[in-house]
Amino acid sequence: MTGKKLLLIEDDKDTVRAMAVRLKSEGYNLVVASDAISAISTARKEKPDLIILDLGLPGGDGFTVMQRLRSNYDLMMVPIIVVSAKDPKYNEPLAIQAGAHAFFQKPFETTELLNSILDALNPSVINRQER
Amino acid sequence: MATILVVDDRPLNRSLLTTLLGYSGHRLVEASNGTEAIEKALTEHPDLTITDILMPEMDGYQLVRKLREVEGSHKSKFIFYSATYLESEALALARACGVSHVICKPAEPELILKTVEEVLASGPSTGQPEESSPGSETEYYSEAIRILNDKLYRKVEEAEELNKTLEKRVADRTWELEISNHNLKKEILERQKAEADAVQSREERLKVKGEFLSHISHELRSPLSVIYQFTTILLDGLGGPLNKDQREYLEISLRNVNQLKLMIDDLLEASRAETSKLTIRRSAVSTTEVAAQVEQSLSTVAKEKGILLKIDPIGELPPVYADPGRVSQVLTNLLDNAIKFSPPNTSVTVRMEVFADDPNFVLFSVTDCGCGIAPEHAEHVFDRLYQVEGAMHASRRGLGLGLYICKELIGLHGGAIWVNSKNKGIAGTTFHFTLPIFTIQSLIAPIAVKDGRLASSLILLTVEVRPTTHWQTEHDHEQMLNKTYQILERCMLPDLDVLLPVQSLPNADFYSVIARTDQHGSEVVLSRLRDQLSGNPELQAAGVHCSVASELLDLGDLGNVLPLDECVARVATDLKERIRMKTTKGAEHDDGKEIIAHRG
Repeated sequence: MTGKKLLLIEDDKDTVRAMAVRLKSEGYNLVVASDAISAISTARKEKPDLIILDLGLPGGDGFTVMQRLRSNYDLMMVPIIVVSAKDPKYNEPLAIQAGAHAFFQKPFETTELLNSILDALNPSVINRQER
Repeated sequence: MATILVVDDRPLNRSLLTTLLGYSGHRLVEASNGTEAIEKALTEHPDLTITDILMPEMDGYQLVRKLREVEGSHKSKFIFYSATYLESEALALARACGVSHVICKPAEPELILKTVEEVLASGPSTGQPEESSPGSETEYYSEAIRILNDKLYRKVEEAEELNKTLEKRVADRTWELEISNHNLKKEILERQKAEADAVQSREERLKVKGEFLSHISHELRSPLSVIYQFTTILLDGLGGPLNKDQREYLEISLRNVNQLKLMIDDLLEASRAETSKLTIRRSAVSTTEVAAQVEQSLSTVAKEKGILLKIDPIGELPPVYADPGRVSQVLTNLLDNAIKFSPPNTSVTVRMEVFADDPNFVLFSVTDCGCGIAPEHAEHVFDRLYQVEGAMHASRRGLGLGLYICKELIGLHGGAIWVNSKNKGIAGTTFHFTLPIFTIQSLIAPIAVKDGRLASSLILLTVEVRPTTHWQTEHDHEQMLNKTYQILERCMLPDLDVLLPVQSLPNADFYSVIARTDQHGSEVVLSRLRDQLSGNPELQAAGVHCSVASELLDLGDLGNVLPLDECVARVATDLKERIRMKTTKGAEHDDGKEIIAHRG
């Protein structure tokens, strides 16, 4: 997975820092957007391989961001993983329906998130490895 | 000067008349009753008899008639002297017996004198008939009857009048009663409303509290997540190499982070329990499978403490009708406690058996070798926020919500939970809980009886799955997916009451259930019971006829690569989306492959 570019859309600086350390150690390149407006422009500019999205954002909620990403021709195929403190009972089905690859509630297991990123970036390889 | 006979039973009346008429120079004779009057009349031959009407033994009218009979040629004249209230009646009756003068008591002396003089002067006092001829006896009686009739009429009228007054009084009283009744009702309603308001405000308070708890528990998650991430980053050596002590301290930190995470989960669950938002999704659940999963997930913790986890199913265990996730939650909670309170190098046992006291339930017993719970605490351990004072593991105390949530969850399933403990004994503590055994009745009941009424018929759909063992190709997957879509499309028609997926699945996935979409609020029923259901004597006796839908869908040669329930749950969500998109955009994605890719 080395060299894959991930876009982290997250407003909490400490979370960004922790994710940056973790994801860089796994060999990913990380770009960050900290609000809903810059999220779209950064995504357009950077064309990431995968997006990690927080739902509670300044400037618009995560679902709106997801909708806009999905309606952009260049970005519609980019897998999105939602990471949020919100109740999965309501938000997970909503996120999946909106086209998210997976939903993780904070605090999440690091290995589960990393596996999910691998899975989203290259499903067929992972499936063959796992099964 | 004339002789006047005064007849009256009251001496005062007689003396009044004799005194008055005495002054006029008349000779006066008195009699106090009819008999005496007749005697006096025969001896004294009065020119005039003034008689009272109402007298004992013989009244004035009778006296007049008698005197007329006995007097012979000597005829006395008569004046009736009577009470005012009898005036009209007296006049009529007087005329009927031929007397034309009636004086009403009390009368002015002038009137009495004048009348007496008039009568005396009216004609020859001897042998001449009265100015008004005396009527025959018949006339007198008919007149008397007429008067009595009149009297009766008047009495009837009076009675009617009284009746009316009475009716009015009754009506008045009724009205008063109605008003007070109305007021009472109003008061009752007001009180009921006040009570309802109190309940409502309590519910609102609970709701606000629930929202508040939900809010903070989510707010707590973000910072907790950061602590967790940095702790694992350090433990994974991403911040540089760690020495032994540093590693140990971080591990302690991480353990407590996990503890805090569980507490936050409990907080949310407890607030859900309070606002009745705890939900369960029931299906037939294999108890041994759930126990095995829980054992698996807790094995690391147990091993660290040197505790042996033993799962001990007694005999052939039927499936329970429960939410598998919730059963696992309850078991995890009890086992976690048991491990926490057990001394190292002991064992914790989960025993499962059909409940001897009620064979409709499976009994779970989780036994540890811990310090036990004192009886005074034992009855409170399921209370919300209850904590045993001075517990050995004070530093590891939770919020006191875990067992409360367990109790609520078991209660939702219709089971019971309790604890046996030998105080400070070696035997430790045993937590017991029961879950209802899966039966066709428990499933059919909510379907057969809807809104309190028994359904007149049930429509069943069964799904036959015939597994094959040969190698599955991509084509097989596609085919299976299509078939499943067909089934689900059929399942989503609202005419079905019961859906019966069939058990003939490989991998012993006996209880896998096709997730019938929620939109019709119907239940999913297991398969092998189809025959029992359609020929169920209880249902038949209750008049419910079960028919098996004719269009049995055949899944054909489908594989065992995917657990059917997982596949179908996925497809169900997906199908809903497809239908939604079809109706809104008319567009359709070929997302079948994606599903396979994801499931693997």
